[in-house]
Amino acid sequence: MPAAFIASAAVTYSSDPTSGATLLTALVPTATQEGDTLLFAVPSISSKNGDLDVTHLPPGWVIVARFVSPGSAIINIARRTATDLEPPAHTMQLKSAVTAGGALLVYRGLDVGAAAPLGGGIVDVSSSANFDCPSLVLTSYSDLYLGFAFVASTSVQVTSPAGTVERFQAAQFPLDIPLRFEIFELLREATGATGTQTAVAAFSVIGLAASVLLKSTPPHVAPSITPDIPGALGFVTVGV
Amino acid sequence: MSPARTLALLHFRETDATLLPTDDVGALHDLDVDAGLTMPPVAAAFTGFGRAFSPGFAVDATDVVPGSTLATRDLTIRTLIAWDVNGQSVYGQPGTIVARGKGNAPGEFVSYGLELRVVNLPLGVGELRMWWQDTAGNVRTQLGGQFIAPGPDAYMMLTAVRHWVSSSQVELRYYAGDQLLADLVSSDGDIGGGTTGTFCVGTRYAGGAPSRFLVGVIDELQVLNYEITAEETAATWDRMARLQPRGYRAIRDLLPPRAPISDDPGSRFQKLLRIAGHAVGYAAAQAENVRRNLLPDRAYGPALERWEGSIVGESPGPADTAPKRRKRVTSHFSQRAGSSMLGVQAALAELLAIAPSQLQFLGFDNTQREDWSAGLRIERWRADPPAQWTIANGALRVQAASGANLLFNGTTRNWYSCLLSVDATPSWLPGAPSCDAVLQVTPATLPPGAEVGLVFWDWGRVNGFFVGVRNSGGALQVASERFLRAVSQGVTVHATTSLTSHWLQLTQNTSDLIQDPTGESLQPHTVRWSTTGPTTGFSSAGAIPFSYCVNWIGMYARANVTAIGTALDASFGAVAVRSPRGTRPFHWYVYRDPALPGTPDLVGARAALGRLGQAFTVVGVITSKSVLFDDVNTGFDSEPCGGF
Repeated sequence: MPAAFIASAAVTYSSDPTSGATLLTALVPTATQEGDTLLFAVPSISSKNGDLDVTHLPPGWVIVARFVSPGSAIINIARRTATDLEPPAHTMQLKSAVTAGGALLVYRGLDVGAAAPLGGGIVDVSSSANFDCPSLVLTSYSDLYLGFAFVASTSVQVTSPAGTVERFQAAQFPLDIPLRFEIFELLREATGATGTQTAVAAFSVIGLAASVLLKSTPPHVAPSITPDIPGALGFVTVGV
Repeated sequence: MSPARTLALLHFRETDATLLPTDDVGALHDLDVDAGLTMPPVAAAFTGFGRAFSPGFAVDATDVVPGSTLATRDLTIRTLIAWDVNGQSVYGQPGTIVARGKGNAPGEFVSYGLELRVVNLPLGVGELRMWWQDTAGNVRTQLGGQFIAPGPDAYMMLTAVRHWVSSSQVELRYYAGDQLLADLVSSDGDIGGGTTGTFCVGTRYAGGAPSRFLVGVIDELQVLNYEITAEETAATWDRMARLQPRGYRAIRDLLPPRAPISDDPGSRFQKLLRIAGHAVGYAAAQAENVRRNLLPDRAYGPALERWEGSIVGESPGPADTAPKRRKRVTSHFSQRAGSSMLGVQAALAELLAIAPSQLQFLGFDNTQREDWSAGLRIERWRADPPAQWTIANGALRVQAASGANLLFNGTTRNWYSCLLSVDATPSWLPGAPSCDAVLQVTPATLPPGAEVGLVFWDWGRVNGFFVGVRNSGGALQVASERFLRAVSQGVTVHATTSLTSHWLQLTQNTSDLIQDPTGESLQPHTVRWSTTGPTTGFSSAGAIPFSYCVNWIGMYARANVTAIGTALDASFGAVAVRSPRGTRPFHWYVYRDPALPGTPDLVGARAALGRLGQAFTVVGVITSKSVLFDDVNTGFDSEPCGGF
């Protein structure tokens, strides 16, 4: 099946009582089922402090994408497969106290056995309204392109690119600094380069733009019957 | 909820295109063509005959009884179809299997539609997806389930299931044969449709014009007004794909070798054998279905209803899914650890959609303690008048204005009281015997004639035992006064005191029962008081006869004058009330924190816990630790009689 978006959740912020590092907590959406893929995306413009602390990664989570820009912006994407007794919330710890965005996405139909990501990239946005999420090459028609636009200095509305579907946008306030985080998806159903996907902010701001490519579970051949000659009992109103 | 039934069943078994396709359940008029369209030709198909649809070829019909094929809630559409994915791709539009409504007016808004879309031709990937219109006429196309299409001569059994949960949530499942293609959630719960809508097969209408023609052969098409389960879908596919062909082979194998009959599958004799073989296969499928799907973990339809209704006594709600209903039933049978905490956790955790460790168990003893840190909890304390009792500085404060009438003399009862209900077993007792209570009271201002303290109170028979600090003509005293049937038995002054904190205790001594001339049964009580602390410095006076049962215990402010000369202000600290024969230990609750994510099945959990609790206990699943009416979390006011 193609990757199907199920739900998203924003994060709440707190601090680790010992180290003071920023903690991001997201509640697991109620529509989550066993086997769904949870993606925790954490962008920051400080690759030093805004990196995920792998020593405090919650059980079951693995970092599947980590991109650092020339200007030291960073985005981490962690993945987990939901269990039948999924914890009510997940908390990620960063390396220090820092302004960072965060969102939890739930997808059904992502291929967790495939390499992740198939591709990805990050660019710095230096006082621009355009968040140019890098072009990626789809190798399969069902590859899922996720674009990220992180407004690091203020909370300004972001518009997702034409032809994409916005999956998350929220104003966030770590360390009482207003930020905005936007995530959109592109399911082109064709192979080849996606081209740069530009999310547009209401006015020029600083931040980062990023993209990753994830693989969907491939479809199966539909079971079928090729009759030698016609004649069979079809649907009935009594019994199966 | 409408009874489960087939809305339409098109076998397309007509042998000639001049014969109009008919609906086997009789809900539709015979299907015909609109102007400009052509009747799809008859084609050989899996079950015998079908109709070959292509651009310009489609049929439709209206309901015999308007509305009989309308479905705006749960729905299943399934079809036996040979889809020409190449032809559909050449045509360039998705292909409509069915659309109930032409979409151009509220009466024709599409309440359900199903179509096939070519996703990727080189890989042969197609998508089965539902769509409908909302009540405003907006088209709501849903995510679909994708599959690799077999060849154009191969017949698939495609099934689309819609389970309506609410106006903002719909569950969708798609199957090919017995394979689940997709299990999705949609927010498009607003579903339109009218009774006069047209049932269209092979096309859908946009702006009055037909479009999105199907390219393929529809062998059969069935629409049901309920959600069929994965198990039922698999059983149907197992019948068609495995058991019916196996029945045919079994019949053939029974024939003696070299019998003088034709081996040609198309011969008349082999066709007769096929009929018999499929009948055997059909019977085998029903037996196999019972074998696989009778038990409650896989049951569906009438079997599941019997498990629920006749065996475990459950009543499913209209939005409950089959898996949810099964969980309720199986939870009854998986209660291995009985009425233990582990047993209750195992039985309820799944129903309440949280981990067993997240369940909280609430139990009680016979002492009720209050330190006012949670405020004045009106579900526990009856404060009268409410405005005179407040929480200040972590204590309960009672205030009366200068001139207020707090007269209490038995017949006149203008007192201020804040009382806690106490009860006991057995239930025929008129109240709680053997009670013991202690509290701290600090009068700040106490005008002459006024008194504050601790009371044992029997409202019905007007028996009261007051122990308090009173101002008697300017002299502060620790005093007690008893009332039996509203008649004072006299004031006893125990000590002189001052405006300071007092710890007052009143205890019933369970020894001899004393018959009083008033008709009351009395027992000796003891009064204790201290100005030192809650555990030290107590003086006492014993053998004071008072009623052996009371209904209320608590704090009071009263006066022996009709108007107090100055304002009264006193504070009550921590209080403890013990009624050792109370019923509180027989109540226990399982608390499910509503702040945790997940969708708990409270109805199912309450029923399951009701069966686990011992007969002498009162149990409940709660999502609030405070019990108030008009609160969705308490379980009170639940449907059908309440508002939640």
